[in-house]
Amino acid sequence: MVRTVLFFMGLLAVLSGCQPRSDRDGETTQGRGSGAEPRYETPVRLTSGEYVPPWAGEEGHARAVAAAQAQEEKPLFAGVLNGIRVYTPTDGKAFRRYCTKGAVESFRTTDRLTFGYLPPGTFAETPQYEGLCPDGSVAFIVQQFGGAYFGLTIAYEPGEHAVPSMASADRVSATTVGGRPALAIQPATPEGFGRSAVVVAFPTGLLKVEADGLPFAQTRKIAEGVRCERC
Amino acid sequence: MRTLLTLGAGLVLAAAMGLWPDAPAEASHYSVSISLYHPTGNATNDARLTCGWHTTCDGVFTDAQLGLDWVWPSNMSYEVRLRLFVAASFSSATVVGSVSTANSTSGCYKIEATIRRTDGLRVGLVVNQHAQVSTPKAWNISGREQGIYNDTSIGSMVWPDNCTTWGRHTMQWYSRAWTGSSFSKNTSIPTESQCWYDCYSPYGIWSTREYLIQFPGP
Repeated sequence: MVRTVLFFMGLLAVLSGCQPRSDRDGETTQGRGSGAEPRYETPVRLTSGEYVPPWAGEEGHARAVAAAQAQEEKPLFAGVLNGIRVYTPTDGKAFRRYCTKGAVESFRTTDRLTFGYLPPGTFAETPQYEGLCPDGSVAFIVQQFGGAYFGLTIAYEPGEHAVPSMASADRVSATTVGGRPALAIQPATPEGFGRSAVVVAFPTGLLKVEADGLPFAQTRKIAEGVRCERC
Repeated sequence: MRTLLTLGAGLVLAAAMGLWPDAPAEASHYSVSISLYHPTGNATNDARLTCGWHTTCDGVFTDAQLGLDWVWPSNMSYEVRLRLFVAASFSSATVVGSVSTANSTSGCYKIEATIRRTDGLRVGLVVNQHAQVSTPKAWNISGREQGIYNDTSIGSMVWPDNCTTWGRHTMQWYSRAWTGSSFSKNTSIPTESQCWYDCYSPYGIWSTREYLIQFPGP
């Protein structure tokens, strides 16, 4: 029921004007064109209660910010783990390609991803949507969520097993999820401040669960509960 | 009248169903106001607004007025900055929250700067699409009655982009995460219909705020 309601709300969001269109043909004026992805004006509550991470509170937050600042000094990890290429945002040549030709030019809602576990107090901040390349192929499926203390993005990207990361080497490791090879990216602090991720290799692409403000055990639990239709 | 009653009942029902993140029950002892300014330009080179309030800058003016497109004059730089003017009900500089920046690593390229209260509660996000950080950052923000300027380099416009666009720029908008906070857009900045083609309005570094964000301290 929740899934059906979310799907139709997302469809409405796209039909009501969130769908980007191209600029004028041949227009090359700098700084114009494109637009934002679909999003809800009002987030939709999906789970009751509220998840409060261990770092929450004035003292914990102050310690977490200091620890995250210490992480900034460390070089970012780049390499291959479990067949998944990890690259940094500073290496433009290493960026994965999303479309064979051109870039994502439109979005449409979908319900290919389903979620077995979301933390208490999770709100959907966007509908679940696909980014479509000029040839109609799907570049990515994404849905964004949030709670009082955390943000969460769940995505599936067909194609190359490659993922950008902003974590130091000591935070990135190989693991398995549901018997599939995967990457584990720990948050900046053990209590969960900063970004963590679980990236799971499927035969045709990557499932990505990225959290901001959640302990890694929560991020992993979410990833273990995701099902992807036709992935 | 009937419409008003229906609307009122709908709002009560929405609140009862928990359609928004709940505000923790608390009595705040201070208030914070953050003015968000544009992400390009500097003290000697005005920022250039290249598309007024829009969701999609395409000459179709019926979409939501989500954000603004910015460049540096003559493409002299592709740097993206986060500019906040933080005022709070303190006579001297006091930490009122934090900002942490990171790339959204799924979907279209964008930088997300998360504003949190001192207890870690997410107030909202400043999003800069078509841009990427080179390294994530976290820092405390302080406020006082007279206000404190906070101007931080957070990343660069990205090219080529993974989502359709024409030329390097960044689209900036604010997304509220906690309904205990409030925000308002500056409607004196033109909309897409008022500023679309050949829209190169210059803006001084601290001349015109995009948003006013307000929240109580814990």
